[in-house]
Amino acid sequence: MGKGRPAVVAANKVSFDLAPGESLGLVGESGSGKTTVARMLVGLETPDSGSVEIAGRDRALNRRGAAGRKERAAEIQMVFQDPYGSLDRRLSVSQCLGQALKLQSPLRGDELQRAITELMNSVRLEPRLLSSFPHQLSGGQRQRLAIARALASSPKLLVLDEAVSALDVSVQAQILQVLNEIRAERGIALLFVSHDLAVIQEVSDKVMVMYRGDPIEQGIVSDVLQNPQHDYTKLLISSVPGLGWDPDEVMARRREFDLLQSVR
Amino acid sequence: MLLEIKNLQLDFATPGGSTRVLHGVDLHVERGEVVGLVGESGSGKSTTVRAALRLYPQSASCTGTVNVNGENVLTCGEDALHSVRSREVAMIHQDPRGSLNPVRRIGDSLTERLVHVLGVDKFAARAKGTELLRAVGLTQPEKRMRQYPHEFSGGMLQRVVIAAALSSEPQLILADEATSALDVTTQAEVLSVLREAQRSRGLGMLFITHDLHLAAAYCDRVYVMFKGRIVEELEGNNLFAAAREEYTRELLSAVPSLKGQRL
Repeated sequence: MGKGRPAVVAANKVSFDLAPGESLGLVGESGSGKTTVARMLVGLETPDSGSVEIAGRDRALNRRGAAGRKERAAEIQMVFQDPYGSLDRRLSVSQCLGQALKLQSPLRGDELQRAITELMNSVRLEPRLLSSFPHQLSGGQRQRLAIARALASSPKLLVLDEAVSALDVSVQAQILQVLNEIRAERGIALLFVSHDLAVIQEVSDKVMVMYRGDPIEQGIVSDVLQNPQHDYTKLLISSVPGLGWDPDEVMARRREFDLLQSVR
Repeated sequence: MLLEIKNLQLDFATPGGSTRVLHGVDLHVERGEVVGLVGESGSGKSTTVRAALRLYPQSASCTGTVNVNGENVLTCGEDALHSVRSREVAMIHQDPRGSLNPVRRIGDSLTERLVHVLGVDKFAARAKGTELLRAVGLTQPEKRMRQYPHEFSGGMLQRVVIAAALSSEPQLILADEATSALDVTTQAEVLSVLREAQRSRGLGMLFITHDLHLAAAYCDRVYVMFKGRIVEELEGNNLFAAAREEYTRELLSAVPSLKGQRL
């Protein structure tokens, strides 16, 4: 792309379907194209070809204009890895959620307050934080706020890009629980992008493994994890630290795999 | 003893008086040993590690002893402190973009320590830098030396930072979530390079991580921190089996594990 370099296919022939409340994990190493897929869904990248349908209605991915974007935002929302970067630091919790709510429906006064409280409840943010600003919140609270803001438009699909990767394990566990509740109670489908297989397993029914832009394996999480078919998936699973994990061995396997790929 | 922290107490000055953040921390790292430090955010892991280089605000008050290679870092003179910071100890942070100057070439950042601290001749330093980049698994190291940080991905940059940390052959590495942002295969690659240095020249490591499976698999010993105190010390391979403290058990139970993975 640009400067006379050959075009790079960052994501190639990616297909999946999600039922309401269902969750797909997208896993792969850095540069595998998983984030590109997530960004295409919310309109941050424009795909060269392909289509997306939501609730049976075609949703062209490359739509222009405020009305088109707003319509898509009502159905697909995204949560990023770093909530500090994606939240406006001059807006308090209630202002942040209030703004997001008003974008989609003309709520006012008590009604608006009730909707804000309800959003905070669904991500378990304490009501006392209503007038706090992002810098006064912990990392976990900020990420909850980002999720609550995404829920404001009552989307059908929530795209999460490494949304819990920066959090420590106990906070991570709470957020994963919140996500599972949202899925069960509101029927929102999740696309969960992560490099952490163990996390994906906690929050997803299905998983898609990507390698250098190609989806190489796809299926029910437990099937893929217990009985991986593709060599890369096997490598990925054996790289996860656990009992008997040896970095030297993983490195040797990685070299072997790269060698095989370059021969092909 | 490479690093010995004894009864370390640290108070930060706040508008409403002082707040104690470390309540008498004791830990040690032997030569050639990998020691883990785990605990939730805010438990004092990073503060402890930074105190080992006397990196805290001047308004803070610190008591106890921190010995690096027999030198008490908290009370020693500027020259001795400079030597500890530049030669004996290297620190690796989680965010590599914060550790590298964005307008300097990778090669210059990488060889800075060698040229300015150890007085190595520039050509020899570049040769060593190139060699180190290859060792941490970067392809085309000669080309990489001439590139700038914005041309690198996060994973590649972190490997540069690790290469830079190894360049002056320090005796102790303080790694603060050094591999947390890397994907699992890259993480293994980088840890394998660090382990090689540990085996070949007795490098000691204090390794902060939130990945408890990694701590168990990679560290010889693991300290568990909670609210500014070390609450438990365990052998790495016994981390999941031998934990007695209630807090450690809670922390361990919060860890998602791959199904079929044995604890």
